[in-house]
Amino acid sequence: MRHAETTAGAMEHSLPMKAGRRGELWRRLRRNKWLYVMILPGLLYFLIFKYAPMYGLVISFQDFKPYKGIADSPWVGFKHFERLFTEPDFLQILGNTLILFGMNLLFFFPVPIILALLLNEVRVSVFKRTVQTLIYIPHFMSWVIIASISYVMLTMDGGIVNELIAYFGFQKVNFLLSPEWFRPMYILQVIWREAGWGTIIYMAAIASVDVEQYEAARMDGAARFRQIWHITLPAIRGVIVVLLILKIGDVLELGFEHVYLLLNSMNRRVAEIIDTYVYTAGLRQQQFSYSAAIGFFKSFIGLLLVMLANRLARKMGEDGVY
Amino acid sequence: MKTIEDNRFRRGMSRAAPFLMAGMLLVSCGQEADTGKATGEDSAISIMAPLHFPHAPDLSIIGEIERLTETKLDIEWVPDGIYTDKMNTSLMTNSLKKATFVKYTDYTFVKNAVRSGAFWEIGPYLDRFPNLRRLNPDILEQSSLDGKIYGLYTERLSSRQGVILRQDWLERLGRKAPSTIDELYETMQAFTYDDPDGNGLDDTIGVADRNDLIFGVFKTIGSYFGTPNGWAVQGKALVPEFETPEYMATMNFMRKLYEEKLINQDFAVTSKEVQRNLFIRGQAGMYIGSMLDAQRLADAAVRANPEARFAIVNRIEGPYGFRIWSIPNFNGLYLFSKKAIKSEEELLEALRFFDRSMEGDVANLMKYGFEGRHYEVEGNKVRLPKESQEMRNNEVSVIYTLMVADLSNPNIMKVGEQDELTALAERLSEDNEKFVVKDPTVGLKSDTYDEKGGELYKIVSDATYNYMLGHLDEEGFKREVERWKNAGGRDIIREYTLDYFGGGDAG
Repeated sequence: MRHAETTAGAMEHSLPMKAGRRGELWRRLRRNKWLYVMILPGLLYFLIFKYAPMYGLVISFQDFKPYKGIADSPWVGFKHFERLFTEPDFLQILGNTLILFGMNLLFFFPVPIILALLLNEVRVSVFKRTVQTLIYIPHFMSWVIIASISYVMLTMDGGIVNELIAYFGFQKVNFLLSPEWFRPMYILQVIWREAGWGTIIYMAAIASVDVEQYEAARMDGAARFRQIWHITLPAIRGVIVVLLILKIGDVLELGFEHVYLLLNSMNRRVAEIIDTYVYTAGLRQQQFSYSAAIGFFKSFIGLLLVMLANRLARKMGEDGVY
Repeated sequence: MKTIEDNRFRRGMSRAAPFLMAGMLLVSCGQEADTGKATGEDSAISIMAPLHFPHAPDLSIIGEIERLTETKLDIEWVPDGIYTDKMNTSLMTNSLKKATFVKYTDYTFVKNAVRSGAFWEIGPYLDRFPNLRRLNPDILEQSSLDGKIYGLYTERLSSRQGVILRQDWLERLGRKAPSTIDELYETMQAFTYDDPDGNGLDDTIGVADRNDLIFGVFKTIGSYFGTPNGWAVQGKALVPEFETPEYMATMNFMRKLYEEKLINQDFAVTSKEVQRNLFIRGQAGMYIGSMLDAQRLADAAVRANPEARFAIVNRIEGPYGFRIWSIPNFNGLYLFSKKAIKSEEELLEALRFFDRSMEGDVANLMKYGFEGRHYEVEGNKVRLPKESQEMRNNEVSVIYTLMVADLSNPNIMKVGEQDELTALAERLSEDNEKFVVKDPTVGLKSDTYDEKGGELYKIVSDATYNYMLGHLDEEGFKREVERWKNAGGRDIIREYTLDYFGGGDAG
């Protein structure tokens, strides 16, 4: 960021308007050659790892066979997209994906913000740091572990939760096998794993708020809550919006692993999302082209949503991400 | 001020840049070197095989195999639970080992790849090898694809399914081992409600099952009820098992077990490890599955409870007498990747290893371990001492997956006396041969099945579970079967029928 500004500044300073455009460009390049060299790794990274692989998308318009390669596989046009849109379960799967995403946004997204605000009010710094570290830890656990822990806790055959429920005289609940419990379970696991980690950025944003503002507010008689409402929250509003847009961009990235681990015959009706469908219908049966078509469709929706969210953000007077 | 800073910055950069560049180059070189090493060891024979045990095998045995066969081995052991996924991943990323084990249940997924030429056709080469030449033509035929031979099979008895149960519980309750479906049910009920472990607590269940409709409890009980093995030939058509009344009867039975809490309530999501643990820890009194697991289950259970004793039953009489489903006589194939094996010479080299592994010295080593350490020889028979049982389980048993066509291999010594339960399980497996039910679609061709059979089967397996758990009624189940048919099942039926009756008249 800062380098870019410096470059821009340097360029404006040196704009002699005589030589041809090409010569001028060349001179500019030479003058700032080390800056360009520094950009190079990042540029290469995006070209090699982000843009070049997009070439692979062409297989969604082919009947791709790995042993024939992209060059020799036959073209079939929109066949795979047609199959996707006419699939009887398509709407259900799309619906499941969007519902999970919506719940994610509604229930998970605010949690790190609240948590960060709460932590910010803690005045004993040892306590604050300890809590921070502890809530980061779940982020480093894999979903396999989390799913296994949940299984052990929730199973009907001696799981601690059901034992407690039974102890207090209630009917045991089959959490793992009932479709109604899948979504709450999913969201709770996401919150447990990611909420702490999510506070990092908010904490950083809060730390940059000018302390004098709080002092002034206190002089005016604002209590803690009013300070949060009128100073802290507005101050980190930009960060919240940017993260929200980024989050929306990941709309369909609900975590294949996570959902796949929770998925079973009983909750498939609500738990099958696009990612798991790609795996079971596409990859496991080596329908690479079909899988690619679904992936393509998914990215397309993601792009649309990001553009929409960015627009909204700009309308509301925020900067957006581009 | 600015210029000074600028200059300093530039000078700094001009000094640092070469290092940065060099660093980047180094990083990329490092990666290249790594991949180069991984693919460069062409002389070694790389193998991917499933690991049915917690640990990879003892290195000394692998070392000895390498020494005897004069081959360098590079074996990737993949835990059985994730083997299918892992194999699929390698297949789609084109990173298969030279020899890759494909379970017969996964064979349909791989067929597309085989047809598109990903693997060597090895049929024409087999005659060049003294042992491979003698492979059983019948099993080769079962494992062939479109009449061509692509794989070396691992041989198995066609059915090891049976019931393993707690003998001490039976005795405490004054019961005898079940021999009919009704008795099986009564035993489960007694195991659940009559305090079979005598601790005064209501803490036992009849049977432990897992999330597997085939190798779990379901299919074996289905056989007792007379459900066909996958498909039935009725008149002039093939009928999928889940359209038969026997399948429905099996589901009703399972539903009853579930409702009366005779089975673990989470069986639809229970893993194999958890299932085994329920049995080992004495929470469940029955384990229905491969009878050859008995010894290992028993060994583990005795460690927890020295009083535990076990019985195995293979004959459970149902409305059609004794029946048991079977797998083909192979449980998997080693396929040879064209990507990993570039030339005919390399292929011959890999085949030579498998051929050599069938010679007496190597084969006995793979099957029994080291003489003196894992087994004794008495006369011309092998004795497997009880004391080294655990050592064999930990060090030797793993390697069994690598053995090609071992049952009919005359070079392998016979076992004289062995563990009670293993011997019993083997005897009963042989007894099973008298009433096995074969799957009529083995070797039949259906393009629809190859393309989306797995995806379609999901509809049926989901419906089966939902029915057993009471989320679906009979109408609902039939609706799901209709859904299966409409989504492509009808084509599968048609294609199988056509292939079975040789076309024409079944149209």
